Amino acid sequence: MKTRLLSLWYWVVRRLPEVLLALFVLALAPAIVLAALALRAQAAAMLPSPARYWRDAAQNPWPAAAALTCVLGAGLLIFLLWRNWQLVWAVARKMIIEGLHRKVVLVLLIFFIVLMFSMPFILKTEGSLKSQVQLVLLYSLVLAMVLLSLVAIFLSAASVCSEIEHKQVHITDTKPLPRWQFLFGKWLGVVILCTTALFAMSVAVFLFVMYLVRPPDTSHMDRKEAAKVTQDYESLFGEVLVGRKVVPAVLPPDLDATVDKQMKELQAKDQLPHGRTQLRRFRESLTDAEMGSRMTLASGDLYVWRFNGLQQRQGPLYLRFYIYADTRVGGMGRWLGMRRREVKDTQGKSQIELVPVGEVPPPPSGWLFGSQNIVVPAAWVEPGGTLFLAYQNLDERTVSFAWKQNYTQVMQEEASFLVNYYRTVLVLICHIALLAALGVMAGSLFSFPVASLTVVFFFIVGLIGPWFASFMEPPAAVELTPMQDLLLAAWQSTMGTVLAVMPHFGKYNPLGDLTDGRLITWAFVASAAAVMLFIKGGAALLIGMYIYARRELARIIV
Amino acid sequence: MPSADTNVLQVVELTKVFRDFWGRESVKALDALNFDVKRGEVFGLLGPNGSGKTTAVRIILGLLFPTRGAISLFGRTPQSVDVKKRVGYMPEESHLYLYLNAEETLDFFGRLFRLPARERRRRTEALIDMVGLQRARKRPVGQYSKGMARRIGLAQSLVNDPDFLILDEPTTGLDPIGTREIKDLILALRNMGKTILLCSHLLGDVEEVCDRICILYGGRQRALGPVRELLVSADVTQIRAPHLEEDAVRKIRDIIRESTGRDSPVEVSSPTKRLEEYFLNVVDDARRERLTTAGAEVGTAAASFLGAGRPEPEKLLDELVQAAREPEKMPEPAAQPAAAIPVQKDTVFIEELVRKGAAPETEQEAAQKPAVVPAPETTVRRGVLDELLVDPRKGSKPNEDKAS
Repeated sequence: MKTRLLSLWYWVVRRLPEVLLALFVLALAPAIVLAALALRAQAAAMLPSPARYWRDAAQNPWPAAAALTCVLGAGLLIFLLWRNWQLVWAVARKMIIEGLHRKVVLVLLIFFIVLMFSMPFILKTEGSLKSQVQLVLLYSLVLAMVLLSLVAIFLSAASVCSEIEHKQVHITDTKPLPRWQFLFGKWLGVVILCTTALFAMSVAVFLFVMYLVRPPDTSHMDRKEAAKVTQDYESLFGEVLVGRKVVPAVLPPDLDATVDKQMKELQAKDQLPHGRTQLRRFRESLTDAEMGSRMTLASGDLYVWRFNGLQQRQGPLYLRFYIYADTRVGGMGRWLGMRRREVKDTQGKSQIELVPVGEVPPPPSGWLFGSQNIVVPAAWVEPGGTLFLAYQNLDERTVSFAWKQNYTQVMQEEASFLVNYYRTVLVLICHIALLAALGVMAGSLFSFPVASLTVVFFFIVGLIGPWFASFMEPPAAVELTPMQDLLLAAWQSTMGTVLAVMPHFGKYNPLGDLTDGRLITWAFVASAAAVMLFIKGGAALLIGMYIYARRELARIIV
Repeated sequence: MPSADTNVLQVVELTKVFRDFWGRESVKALDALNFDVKRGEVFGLLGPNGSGKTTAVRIILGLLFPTRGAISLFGRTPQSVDVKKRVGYMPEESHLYLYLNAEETLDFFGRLFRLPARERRRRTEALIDMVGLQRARKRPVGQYSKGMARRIGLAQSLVNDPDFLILDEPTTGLDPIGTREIKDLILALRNMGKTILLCSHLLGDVEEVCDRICILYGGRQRALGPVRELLVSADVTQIRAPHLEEDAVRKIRDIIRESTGRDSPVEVSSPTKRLEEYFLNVVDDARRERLTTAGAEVGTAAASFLGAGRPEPEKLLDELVQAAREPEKMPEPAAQPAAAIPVQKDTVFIEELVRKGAAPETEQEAAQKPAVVPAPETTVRRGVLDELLVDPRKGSKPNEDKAS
């Protein structure tokens, strides 16, 4: 028995690359099935009225374009693998053995497990179970992501560089292995290794979170405390361990027209700034001012937000709003659910009127300054999926609401936490695949220190690029000459292009949404895969392959 | 091209200039090199260190690109994947993946030739046996000694049963047994009809096995042609004999002086025993006593799959060791069938001389005899080690073989 187990173990060790490949396929198989189902649902939505679908798609073509890119990219990837599997797998297999031999993945895995388990003790939380789970979830996944990003960068760059530097390519390249397949195999090897490691880590995180989320033992507490703890526990399932669809409020339909009218009036008085950039920015500031004035409610005022695309079903709706209220007293005011009703006016003409169907009163201390989350009944949703919510200011002070990033929104459960979690992991895989492609590209170009530093530079720019870009705008009040305006436009378009080419990790970061229980949609996963994996990753790999196929391998670039 | 049938490799006006980062010419590694390697021959590329041998080989393999000139390998460019299927390359240092063991290394390279799993296993077994690494097969190559790594380097170059084998300094880092094995293997492979390009600065190696050579110096071609023609010196005659008494030596000296004139220099000395032979004996004794080693063992002859269909060559090394023990029962090795003829010439000559020494005739009689003695018209100048060789078979045969 013992020898049989031992021989089985030896077999597994010898076949570790194949085992990892099997795990990799197993991990990605649900994605393929789920993506196919999502595509089928899209097709089903399109078929009854294709004209309407295309009209909608033309308004926001990105999800469709992303889906198309994913389908084409995945098709190309599978075709290339299918045609060249023997050679690509030979290289990938050796890459996996190399990665395992370097033991970096194993060390990081252990490091990660230790850190993850110690997280509840290290991290300072406000004490509630919800915040504890959120922090463990967020920081564990961030840690896994950072560690595996570094592994992907260094493993891919180091492997390609060292093979050139230590002249192993002198043998490998004299075998009938096309050079592009050599790089492709390297990339695949790194992706398989990092993906399986990421899956191992995320399974560990998932299990650990499930372990943390246990019904609280309230037997030794008094009733008030027990109620608080139980509510905290229950809110976890509604607000964290769930995938909620986010529906921001519809902007006022007359907003653009109002701003245009103001612009025209100012133009007539010749009070508009010159230059395209400044004009655009002036218009933005006018819009801000207009929205700000509408979102500011004097005592007794009422403002109605409209939300589209909700489901009329059981379960709570989560309303999130950002209120500028007096911090000392808090804003007194109530939320009202509204329904449309047809009423006849005095002349007998029918008119649509909003009538309240229910209300959420303010907490005893009022709404506090900042972001607020409350639960509203899903029964307020109209049959068409539209919801009207109103805030009535009952305070004698004025309150106002934020718009733009913190614009009022409603969230509704759409998917389970497991599905959301799985989609998050898929997006993280796209990050790793892009970094591996960048590593391979840099490795085929430079020597190891330069190559790894280059990719780390890309990585950092990808993280802080958008933040960096925000410094490029001059203050709105500054008057620019036409020349300055032209230079500014040129600079912005150049930098915009550079930043668009860079990996955009901040834009496709699903962790914030995951820990907040917001739905990570297939459209998001598809656009992350399309941009990071297929477009940017593919471009990096192609550049690497092009250079590698045309360089003198026996020549060492120092 | 018409020469594609007979020429495996054609190098025309090959020039390679290395430039530094700023485009300045830093070194002219090769200057208008012209040679071709014919099907089935062993071609030697010789030259001192830094003469451009390795650069030439790297260009032939497509690892570097020529600045000027052209290369045709099997009638195509070196970058062609189809060409690479027929080429085997053993670099001057074993650039192996240090974390793979011998089996995994050969398996990996076998995969690159799209060999099916069963065939990969068969070839891996055969090659590991051939290079004598049976006991080290599971150890990572990184733990190997230099010589053992060289053996794996050789094995990987043969994994595809190549038609054209490029060996860059194949004997560096190898013990005398390994060196001998490589030389025997080269000859065995040539007999299977393979073409071999041998790159070396060890003249002894090259001379023993090569049909034709090209000598490089400073990237320029200094000589090109068959080894025999290049190494022959028509004005010296070499005589080898068993130990002779002082009297017999004096007589021989007199005979030679008479035929060549008083002042011509004649050297007579006893040959010393060759180190290689002594070493082989020691190792052979150890093998007889069944001592095991975790390092390199004596390999078998060429792996069975090489040149499939042809008869397996006999174990050359065993024969050589055997021969050193029992010189009178020397079997003729299969690989070198035509070797005996010129040696017999020498033997006749020496026997003639010895008979004279044993039963001395008058000096006059002896003086009239020289016409009877067919002195070889040409004698091949041997390498230093081979000068010391007792057994005439080892040193002279390969070249005699080529002469036939």
